[in-house]
Amino acid sequence: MSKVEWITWKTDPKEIINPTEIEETIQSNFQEYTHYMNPVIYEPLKQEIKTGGLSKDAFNVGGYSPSNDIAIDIINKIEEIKISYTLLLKKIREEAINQKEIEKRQLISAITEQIKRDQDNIRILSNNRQKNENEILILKNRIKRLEEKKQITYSL
Amino acid sequence: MDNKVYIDHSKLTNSISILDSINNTINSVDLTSFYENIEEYMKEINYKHDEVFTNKEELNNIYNNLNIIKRKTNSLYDSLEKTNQYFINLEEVTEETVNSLSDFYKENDIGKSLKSLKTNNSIDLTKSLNMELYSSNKEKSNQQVEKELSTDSIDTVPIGIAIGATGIIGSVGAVVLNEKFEKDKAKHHGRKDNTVKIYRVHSNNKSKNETLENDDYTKALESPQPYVASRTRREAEKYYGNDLTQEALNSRMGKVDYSTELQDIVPEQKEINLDDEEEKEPLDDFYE
Repeated sequence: MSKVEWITWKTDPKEIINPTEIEETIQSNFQEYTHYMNPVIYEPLKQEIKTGGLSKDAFNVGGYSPSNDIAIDIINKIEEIKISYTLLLKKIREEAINQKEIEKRQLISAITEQIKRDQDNIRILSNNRQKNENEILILKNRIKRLEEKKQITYSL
Repeated sequence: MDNKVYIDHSKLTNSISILDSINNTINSVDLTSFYENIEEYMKEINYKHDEVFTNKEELNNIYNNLNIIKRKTNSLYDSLEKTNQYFINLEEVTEETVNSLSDFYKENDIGKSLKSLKTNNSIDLTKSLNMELYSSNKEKSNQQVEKELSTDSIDTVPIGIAIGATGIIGSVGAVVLNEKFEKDKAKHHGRKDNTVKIYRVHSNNKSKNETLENDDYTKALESPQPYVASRTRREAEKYYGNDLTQEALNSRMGKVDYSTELQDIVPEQKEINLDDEEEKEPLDDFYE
């Protein structure tokens, strides 16, 4: 996580990293995974382990039921994937939120500097107000828009 | 280690078909695509926002587990199918079958036993499979073995033979069958439901007419000894393909009354080296 080079006073605040959007995308992927995995693999295997051919009673050699062991291992791996997804989601959320703060500060700082430059230019141009009336007006409008953008960025 | 095999063929067959359909589905929809979608998305974010996501541990876990699931589901299906076939076709035990079983069971003691047998090339593998698995029965007497086998349970079926007269290793085990399977077979063969079925494990893949030279059992038969259960001796005869005729045995050991016939329930595919006339031999002596 660090400052990004492309953020200037011209940058649209919407381009800042959006943790909510990232989280929703990952979650949607996770839901797609569970909707596939559960009815296709997880539930049938679980049923077979409980009462079917993968149970210890259905096949047992010398006290061992390797088919039961392997099937339980598969179930455990599916569960581990669910846990990994949850942890991944948590980490991504944290990292995205931190990056968002960095980029927000960066944009606000860039906007603030540009507002200051424009105000300095207005002061200089005001020495000959009649001649520079249009330019002064342009600068004042720009300052107004930058202030609005700054407020939007604060509210992100 | 418990010297018994429990197998429910109908449940196993059902599980095999379920695993087959799971495998087909997994192969048609690439399981790792879920991981790849996330990875691609995170790469885009990192490119735009200067490596914001640096910790890839969880993503790697997901990827590894997805591959393990794929691999183990395939392997479970293959192993289960082979094992089911193995126990259905007991007379066809070959070295390849033992190797497959050894791979299947590699992570437990059975696998270790099988592996240790494979390294000893002088031992007939299929014979040794049973000798090793049932080696704790070496010191058991014939009576003790008979007691074990005289269960009334419909589900417990002794496999193999007890040849305990001279302390020779007998292969004894039990196969537990599902009731429906057995009732169907019983109907087909006209047997009663409360009869005991015997499965014979063929621990020798030689033909029944071959004799084993220097075999302890052959020596034991040739030397005079007290008569034990005729059934066990006759089974041993078939088991090792002894050339001695029944008359020779009878004259040496004394007559046995075979008037009471026990209907022996042995599904055809599990009977090994039996002549038709021998199917109806009584088992009374065996279970006294």
